[in-house]
Amino acid sequence: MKWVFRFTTYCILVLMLIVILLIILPGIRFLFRPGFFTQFPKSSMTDGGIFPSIVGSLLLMALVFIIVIPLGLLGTIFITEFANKNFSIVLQSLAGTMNSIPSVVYGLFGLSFFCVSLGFGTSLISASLTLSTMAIPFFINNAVEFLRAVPRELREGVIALGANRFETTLMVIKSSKNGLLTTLILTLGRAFSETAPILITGAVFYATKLPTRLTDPVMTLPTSIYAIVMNLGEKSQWMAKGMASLMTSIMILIYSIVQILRRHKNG
Amino acid sequence: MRKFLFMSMVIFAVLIYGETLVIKGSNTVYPIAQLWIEQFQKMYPNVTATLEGAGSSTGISALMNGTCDIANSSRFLKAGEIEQMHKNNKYFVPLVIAYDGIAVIVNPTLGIDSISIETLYKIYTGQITEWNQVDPKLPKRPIAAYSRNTASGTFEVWLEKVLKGEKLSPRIQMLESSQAEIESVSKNQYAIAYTGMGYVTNQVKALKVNGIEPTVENVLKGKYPLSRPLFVFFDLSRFNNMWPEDNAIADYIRFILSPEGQKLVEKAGYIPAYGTEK
Repeated sequence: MKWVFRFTTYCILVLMLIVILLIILPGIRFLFRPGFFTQFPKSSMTDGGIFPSIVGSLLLMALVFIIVIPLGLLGTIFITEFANKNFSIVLQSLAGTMNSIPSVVYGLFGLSFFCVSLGFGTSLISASLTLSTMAIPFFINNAVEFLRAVPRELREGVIALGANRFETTLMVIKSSKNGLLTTLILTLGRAFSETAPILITGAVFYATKLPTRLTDPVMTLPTSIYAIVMNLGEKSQWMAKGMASLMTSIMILIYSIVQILRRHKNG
Repeated sequence: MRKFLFMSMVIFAVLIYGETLVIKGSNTVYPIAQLWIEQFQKMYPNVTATLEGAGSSTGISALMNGTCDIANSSRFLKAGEIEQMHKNNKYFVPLVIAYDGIAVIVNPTLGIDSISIETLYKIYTGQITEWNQVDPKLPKRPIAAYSRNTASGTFEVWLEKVLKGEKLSPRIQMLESSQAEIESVSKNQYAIAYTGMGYVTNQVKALKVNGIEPTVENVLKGKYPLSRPLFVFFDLSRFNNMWPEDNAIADYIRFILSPEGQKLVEKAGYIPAYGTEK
């Protein structure tokens, strides 16, 4: 019976490897073109580099990081430490539901709320707020498990030593540090690779300059791939291939870091 | 306190420095617009121009809700859009910036040279489903017909000029972009699709329509039956319904209608609406 499981696992592994190689290999040689990381795209993206897309993605990640850290962390702590049992179940299922909403719905919400109602327009700030709306439930959903895993005896012991509620919470966070860190990395990884929510709220296919204000639109890696594949001809496709292989490599790196951190925590 | 004042001054300086031009809309106009803003940047270094191309309807609705400054479109405003525009007290100025022929494309290995509007009508309404019904010499194979999705301006023109108000058959496969159409047709021997002339590559073959070849000359003379003007819209109500003189939108429009701008239309593979000579 064992061989059935082994066989299916190997099949899936091989398939995944093939998919990853098919994405990474065709584009990898473009990463070594001179100026690929430092230049603006030129003449309809047939020449030049992907500098603005990288900067845009990083800016977006930085903003998402700033918004998600306080809100996500406070929400998680409230659910595990302060809310009573019934309320925390309600909140957690709410976060779970929000987590399973398709990302394009977040995009439409962001368009009508941040861009039009609040008047931010197509901008960096609308895109990062939309992404954060999506990333916070994702963060809470994963982080709650790590805080819950802190043993009850540890909390009781700290309280017995005379710590107040704030100090107890601090201890709980400290002891699940690795878990929270992996969750944060996963959240940023998800926000990094998401296309649909930013496509209509803040990303543009081509900008002549880097954004200087929060109200400027921005170019990002995933939307640039979409733009090139959808709008431009054969001569520009190399850039999309290069970006796809770069993004896949980054995602592999992120997941490797997460695995290492997890092992660290267990061992 | 002094530090705070200094910081807020820096932020203010950044805020007033330069303008940002947000351009959205047509997939068809996208390649022209990209060349335009690349050149525009060199002429006006203070202005940042950004471009997105998800379809004519997307651009016009973005102009309506104020999330873009300029909308590219491969069709004129629809009646519903004009109504909504009046309701919101807006005034969109249409500028014809280029002409484009819609090329009917097939795989080069399929032995066909010419097709009539009537046959196209029958294919896209689902009355003809196999190639030997088009021409008895062709193989008896099902026609894989592709169309652009409903956000596309090219699709609207196709509805008007080929389908003449009739509904598209559910057999037709809708594709997201012109590039996707070219790829599908170049891979499938029995495919047919339509796309802007600027997108045609040597992977696919553009057919004669009603016996007339899709060339620049035939489009300009009005002979080619599937041709259309391409538009750029901007909102005049932002300037109290006065023609803007000195701002980024005015500079951009002056540039795209100038001989230099029109030369870029030619470079992108479309037909300039105005002279390219100085």
